[in-house]
Amino acid sequence: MVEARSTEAARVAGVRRPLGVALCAVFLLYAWLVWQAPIDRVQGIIQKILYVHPPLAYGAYLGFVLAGVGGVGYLRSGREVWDQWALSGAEVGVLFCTLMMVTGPIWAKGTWGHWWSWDPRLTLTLLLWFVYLSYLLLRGFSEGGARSARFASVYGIVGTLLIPLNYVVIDLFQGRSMHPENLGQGSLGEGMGWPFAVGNVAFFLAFVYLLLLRFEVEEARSRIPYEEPA
Amino acid sequence: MSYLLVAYAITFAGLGWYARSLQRELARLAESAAQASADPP
Repeated sequence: MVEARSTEAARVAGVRRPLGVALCAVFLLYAWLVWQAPIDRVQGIIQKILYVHPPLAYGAYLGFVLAGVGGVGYLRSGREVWDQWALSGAEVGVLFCTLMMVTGPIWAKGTWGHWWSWDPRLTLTLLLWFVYLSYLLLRGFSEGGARSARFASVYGIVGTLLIPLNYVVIDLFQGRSMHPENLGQGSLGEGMGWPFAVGNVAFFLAFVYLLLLRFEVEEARSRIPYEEPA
Repeated sequence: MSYLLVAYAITFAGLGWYARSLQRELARLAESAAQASADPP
């Protein structure tokens, strides 16, 4: 016999469905705002990657932080649900980080003239991606259970140390980084603020939607004792 | 322009592909769970 769906999974599903509808509406607004956004005088139209690249980076950071927070929760309480959130956060974070790592070089090719530079920010981001890709491989190849969940929790917590470093590395290497500085108040051109803000909201909602969906999958898997791989 | 379109196309294709994969997996797991519940203990 298989246990009925947990209360937490039912609650998550109840939030996710209306969120999907809101997400569609926000993305329509986002598309219109990006279309209307002014074209940058220096970089030209390719600068509109701004409305997708940083929001993906924030989503990646959020997913990796969640892997650490879930790890702390699991180590403190031993409750499987924390580990499920940690794994879900890491996986969605890796997806966002992968897309960020794809859109960044496209932007670089259009502005710097080459796809990649061993710049401190880019190198650390690549390292961050490898760290969490390894986390997923570790989870995928281990047999599961409390021991691997504990190890993954510690790994996820240690991995989060790279996140603040990745963010401040540009300030640490003042003037020696090709990557533009972190966005601050007033650093966007006129008319670029709204599409950027709505872009961040849209990608944040997409992150939450995928996270909830991934959690539901993990929770459903945990209720089936054993099954042959598909 | 083409670089910009490629960046947006990859991003939305990636997000859409992932969401569809998860939805399919969730449906498959729900089916397995229903089948397992129907089986005699």
